[in-house]
Amino acid sequence: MGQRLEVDCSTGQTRAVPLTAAEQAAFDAALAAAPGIEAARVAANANAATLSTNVAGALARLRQIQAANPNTVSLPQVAQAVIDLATDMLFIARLLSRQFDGTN
Amino acid sequence: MVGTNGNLQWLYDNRVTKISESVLSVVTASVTLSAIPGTYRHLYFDWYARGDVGATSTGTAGQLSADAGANYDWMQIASGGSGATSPAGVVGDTDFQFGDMTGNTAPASTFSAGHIELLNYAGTTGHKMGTWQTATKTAVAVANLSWYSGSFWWRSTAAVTSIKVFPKSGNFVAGSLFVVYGAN
Repeated sequence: MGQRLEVDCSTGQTRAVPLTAAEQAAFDAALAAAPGIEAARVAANANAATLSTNVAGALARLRQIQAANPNTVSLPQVAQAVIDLATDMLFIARLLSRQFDGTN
Repeated sequence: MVGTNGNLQWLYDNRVTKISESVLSVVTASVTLSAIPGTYRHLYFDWYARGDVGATSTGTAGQLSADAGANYDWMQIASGGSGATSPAGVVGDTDFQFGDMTGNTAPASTFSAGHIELLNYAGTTGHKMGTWQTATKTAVAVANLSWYSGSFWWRSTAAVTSIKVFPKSGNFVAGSLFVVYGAN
C-alpha cells in the first residue's frame, strides 16, 4: 500500500497517510499505463526526428521540381514527381500539425 | 513606499519568506502542503524531484485546495535541447500539469526541478492562475534535455489554502524536495 505526505504549513508537522483503496486503485492504473505512454512518447520523438530529416530532403526535391522544365521530362517522370511531391507535403503537413504517430 | 523605519524596514516587510518545506525520506505518492496562510500576496512553489516509475519520465501535476474536479485549464511548451518544441494543453482537466520529471530509467541520480508562481493566491475576486518553469533530463543527449514552461488556471475564486503535487504515474523518490514561499 502506498502513502502520501501531508504537511501542515501552520505548524510544520508532517504526516504520512496510507492511500485509500480508491487512491491506490488510481495509482495502480496509472502505473500500469506508464509503459504504453513511454513507448508512445519514444515513438513520437523518433518519428519527429525522422520527419525533420525527411523535410530537409523534401526541400531539395521541391526546389528541383520547381526548377524543372516540363518540356524536358517524360510523363512517367512527371508522375513520379507528383508522387514525390505528395510524399514531401505529407512530411511537412505532419510536422506542422504535430502528428507524430507515423512518418508517411 | 518607504516604511517608518526606512528602506530596510520596507525590504524586511516585503521579503520572500519560506512558509514550509518537505524533503521526502521514503517514496511517496503525493505531497500536500496545507493550511497555507493567506497573509502574502503571491506564493512561490519550488520543487526538486524524481519519480520511481519504470520510464524515463512522467508528468508532474497539481491540485489546489483539495479540488479534484475538472476545474483546471493548463498549457505548456516543451523545448528540447535539439531545438524541437511541443505545445500541449487541456481545458477542464482534473489537475494542472507542470512539465515532466525524470523516472526510474533516466540516468541515475538525475532529478528534475521547477518553480511555480501562484499570483494573488489569497484573493477572492477572480479565478486563480499560475505560471511555471520546469527542467528535466531523461538521457545524456542534447535531445533529451528539456525545458518546459507553461501556465494554468483554476476555475475558482476561493483563496488557495493547500497545494497537492503528484507524479502522473508512480511515486516521488526519497530525497525529493518541496518548498513553498510567500511573497508580498
